[in-house]
Amino acid sequence: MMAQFNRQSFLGADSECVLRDCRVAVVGLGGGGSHIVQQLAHVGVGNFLLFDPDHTEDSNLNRLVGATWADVAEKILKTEIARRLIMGINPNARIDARCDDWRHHAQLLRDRDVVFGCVDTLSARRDLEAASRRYLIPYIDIGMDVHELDERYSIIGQVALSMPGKACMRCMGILSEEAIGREARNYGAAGGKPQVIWPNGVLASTAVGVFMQLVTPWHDNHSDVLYYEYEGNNNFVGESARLHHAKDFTCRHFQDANGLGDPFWLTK
Amino acid sequence: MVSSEAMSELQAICPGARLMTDGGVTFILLPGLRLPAGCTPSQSDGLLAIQQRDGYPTKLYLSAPIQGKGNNWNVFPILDRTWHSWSWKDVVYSGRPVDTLAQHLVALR
Amino acid sequence: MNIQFKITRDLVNQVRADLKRPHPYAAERVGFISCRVGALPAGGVVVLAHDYLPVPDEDYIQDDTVGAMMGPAAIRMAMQYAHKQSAGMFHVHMHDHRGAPWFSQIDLSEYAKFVPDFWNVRPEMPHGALVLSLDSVAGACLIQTTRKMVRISNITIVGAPLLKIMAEMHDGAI
Repeated sequence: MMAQFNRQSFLGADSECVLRDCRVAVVGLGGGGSHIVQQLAHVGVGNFLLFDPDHTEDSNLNRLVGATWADVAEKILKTEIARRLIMGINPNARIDARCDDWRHHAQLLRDRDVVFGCVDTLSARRDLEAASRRYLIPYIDIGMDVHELDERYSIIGQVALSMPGKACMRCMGILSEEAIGREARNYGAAGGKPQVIWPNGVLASTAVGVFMQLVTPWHDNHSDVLYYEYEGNNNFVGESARLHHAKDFTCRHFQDANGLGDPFWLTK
Repeated sequence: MVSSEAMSELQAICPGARLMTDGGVTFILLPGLRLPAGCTPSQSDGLLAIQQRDGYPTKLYLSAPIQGKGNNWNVFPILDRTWHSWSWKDVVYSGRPVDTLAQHLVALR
Repeated sequence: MNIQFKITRDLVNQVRADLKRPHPYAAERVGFISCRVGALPAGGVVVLAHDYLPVPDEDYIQDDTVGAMMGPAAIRMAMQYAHKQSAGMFHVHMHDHRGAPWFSQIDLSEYAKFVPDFWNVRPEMPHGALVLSLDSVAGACLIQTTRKMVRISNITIVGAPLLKIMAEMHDGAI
């Protein structure tokens, strides 16, 4: 075991190899995704597929892990911030970084072991989950929001594990076409949504913890349906009450065999 | 959701049209759909969502965007492929997909 | 060729539960796992397990020289399923030991006889075989172009925990 991983030897004798060989995708390299990328690099994940179409702006500096004023001045791509972050910690990591919308390259997700979604919209979450399910890939989603209430504010967020064969984000009540429709109608009206680093950090760390228990479990309490809600005003992360209903669901949204693999394989 | 008569009516103008589902949503695949005159390409694979999707009661997706037609083209991964669609008015599903399809194709004239 | 295989933990447990059941006269049980497939971005394919078809008790042939011998009805059932569901079919059985399993020579010679028959109904799909041990799994896929069985490069059991089992030999040839 390399010395840099000595302190995580409790994860198991083969954990270093497992993490080194693990192929992850991180979609969205903003406030949440940049945290996740940093932590995954630290624990020794060795194969990254990264997506973000944007470059660094000054409004990112309050939360984009690894970004500096020099990056803003030079309009450095968020994918390059992430690459630099990873390589500085784990120079042996293999990185495929795409400065583009992942939806143009969805086929690249097919060989991933786990997909992290750190995206802004419900429709992107829906599409990432569906693409992951099609290739039997566990999908870990994070998101945060700031709500105004009587001129005060409430910070909330969620981490969800969507495991193939188990309750999906629609079963959990996180997604619906009605909510996606409302979002589509309001698109452009909202302006830049409030985003701050500390909730992103809590959610990213929770997501990485979910991932670690999946690939290098350190206890026997295995859960393949997870939905944590974050109440930022109370600094509380706990299991969502909605999970009680969803946990034993047989997901009816992704059970069709035609939802697996390439549906056009026979016509190639 | 689609009667056999309605499906046959659609297959008369688009042979090979068939139902497919993705993430619990029903689509009609329209292989080699002929597009209105003046479109480049003149033919495209299409995907007609006959349930609410992306903020519309129905929606038509194409395998490639059409230059100079439609506004606000965007990209959608569905059925393990990349599809393209544009902003259009609400077209409510009538039970006759050929009719719903025609109302979407008006945007490309 | 890079062939990956993925199966949910629930489906593996379903398969194990069936294969563990005693049979009136066969020493072991067998079944079929139906699959879909997709191309991998860097070449090769990923095979995605969807369902399990147990072989009914009455479709075993009494043969004391082997652990289990399927009758023609069992193969017919699997071929009909492959055709109707546009599926790839993987024969599966289990060995009663821990650690990495592998096929016996008898297994491999039997697969050479009946697995190619699936190409008569679904030539576009991959077909092959899996073998489970008490705590692991291995498999092979018959490649149509070469008519050879190629070892599956890795098998991922998708669930909590996520378990990725790498093949011991990476050249794939058997």
